[in-house]
Amino acid sequence: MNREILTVLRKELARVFTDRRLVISAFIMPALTIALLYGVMGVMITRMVEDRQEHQTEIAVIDAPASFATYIEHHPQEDMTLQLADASRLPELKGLLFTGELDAVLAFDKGFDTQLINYKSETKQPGIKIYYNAAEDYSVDARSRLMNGLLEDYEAGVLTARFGDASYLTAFETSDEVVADPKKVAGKGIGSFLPLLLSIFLFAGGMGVGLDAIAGEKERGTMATMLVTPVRREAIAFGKLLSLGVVAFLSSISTMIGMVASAPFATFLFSNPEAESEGAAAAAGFMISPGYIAALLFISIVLTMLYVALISLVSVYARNVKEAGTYITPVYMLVMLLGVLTTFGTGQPALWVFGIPIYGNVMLMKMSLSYEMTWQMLALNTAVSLVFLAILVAVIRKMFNSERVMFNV
Amino acid sequence: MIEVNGLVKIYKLTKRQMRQRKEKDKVKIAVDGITFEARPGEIFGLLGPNGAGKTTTLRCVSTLLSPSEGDIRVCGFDTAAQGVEVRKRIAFLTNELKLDGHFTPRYTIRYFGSLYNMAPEEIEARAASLFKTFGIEGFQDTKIDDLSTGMKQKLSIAVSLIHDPEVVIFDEPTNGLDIITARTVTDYLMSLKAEGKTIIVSTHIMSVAEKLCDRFAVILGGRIVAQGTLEDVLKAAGSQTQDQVPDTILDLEDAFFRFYQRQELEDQASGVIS
Repeated sequence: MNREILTVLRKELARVFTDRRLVISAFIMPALTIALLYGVMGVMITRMVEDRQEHQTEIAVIDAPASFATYIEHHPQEDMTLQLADASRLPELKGLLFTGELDAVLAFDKGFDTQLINYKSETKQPGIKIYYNAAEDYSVDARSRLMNGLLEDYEAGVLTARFGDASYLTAFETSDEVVADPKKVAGKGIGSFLPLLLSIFLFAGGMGVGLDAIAGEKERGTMATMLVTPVRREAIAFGKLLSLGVVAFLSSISTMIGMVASAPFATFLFSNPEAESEGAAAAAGFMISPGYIAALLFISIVLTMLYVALISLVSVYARNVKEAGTYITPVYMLVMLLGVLTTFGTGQPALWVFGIPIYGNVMLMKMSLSYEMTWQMLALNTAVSLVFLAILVAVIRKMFNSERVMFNV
Repeated sequence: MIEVNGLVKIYKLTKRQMRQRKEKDKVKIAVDGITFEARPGEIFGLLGPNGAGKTTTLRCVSTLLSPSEGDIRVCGFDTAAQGVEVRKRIAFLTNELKLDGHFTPRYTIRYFGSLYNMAPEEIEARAASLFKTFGIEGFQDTKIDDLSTGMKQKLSIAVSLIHDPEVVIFDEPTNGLDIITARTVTDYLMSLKAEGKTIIVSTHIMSVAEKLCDRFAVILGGRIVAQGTLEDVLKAAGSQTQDQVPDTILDLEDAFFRFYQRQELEDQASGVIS
């Protein structure tokens, strides 16, 4: 039996690895696609951010008071062009703002300076209004440059003139310091999306070859040729399951390599704002422990076998590849949905969550990446996965022995 | 030796199959109680039109389908209970069985040899002799996809015979073969017969059957209507006719049509429209 499984396994692997088309689609394309996709996304996002930073903001100033004009004169703004305008032009300027030709309109109240000087007797504080277009990135930036830059500095200038030292107006300073296990923090960043991606890559890798390996063989009549040999049906089923597992696993590793290769360009994906304070040390420290890698590997292999069994089940049941493709789509959607669900939720999940097949497995991977996995989680999830796998394999076995399924009679 | 005893095969149809095939009944009786015996050193022919139950019978003999009733023994082993032992001793060939076009003939025959648990040297020797017989020697390392149709068919036959089986089951052996390949196949079947193998073939081409087979069974509607040597079958066709014209029955084809007409008359009499 073992020898038979090995013979079938060897042939199945030879089938995949000697077929250029399959090698490209299962191992090379995923890596290339991911590297290219993330690389291009990374470059584009970086370029976009840089472009926004370098943009010279165009601002129209209405009814600029003398104090403001003087301030500007003494403090020229490098990243913005200010043009003075009369209040009567406001509707026209709003039009320019609307079309994106202008980034912001800064409108001072009439008699701004008078109100400013007579602040003790005035009942109303002088006002400044910023008009901006929330649909335009440049305009949103212009607003924040005004609020957090120019106007803040201008106000500080006014307050200094009024009180001699603007720092009198703050009573205390606040600061913070991160106290966290740097490994956990780094893991949280990666752990939030990596399990989902890995889960999808594993399923996609198995699906690419799995539908053809069983439904395709049934359709082309090559399966029946094997069934008339003395080899046990179970040996054929197990040989195919194992080979699919190997292919799915290697395919997902290839995808991972693609992702790592894109890392230098795709900082948006890999940088973790929480971990940044701890710097590169945390990021470097998180991959090192062999136990960590072993745990991740073990969880991935269990998940791979679950997926491969699911794909095989659908593939055996279907009469041809086209039918198999139709049946697998909802399963794929479910796998994606369960994966996406693991990215939500805060705090430590309850233990029973790890008893849900697929969802629990992806969740466990997430826990393992953030160093929060406990032995109870691992044991429960592994036990449930093995039971689920045993059920799937038993059904597959039964189907391989069913003449209706195997010969479409 | 193949012993088929009271074989009945009933397919249960799903609702979808009933709709597709426009059948009213939930069950379809493909084979309705047939009994025959094929002996070593002879070629036994199952004759009948499409849908008569030939392929179902042969699939049951090959252990691919299990009988609904009755039993089949191949070389003394029961096909339902001892499928693996039966499959070790048979070669089953039909046009529906295909080889993966991605591999070469050499790889394919080695793979199938190892599925029969043969030693590598044994596989090499046997493969060399089969490739020689069927003229595949020059194409051993060509991808099967790139072989001609005739060459693919010859390779299928060679692969199915790798383990030197005692029993050869051949569904429509010359169907779709060109005239030269067909001759190679029939010649090879004759040589297998000379070696003392048990051979059973199904066909609807009466001229092929007449030349090739030692004994026949004529199947119509899942039942055997006549069985025996050519002489027996011709006699049976003549004797039971209402309008006695035995001189018109010159060959197997005439006999077959006589059986066929008789069956139709019976069906009409019993109100069944076939």
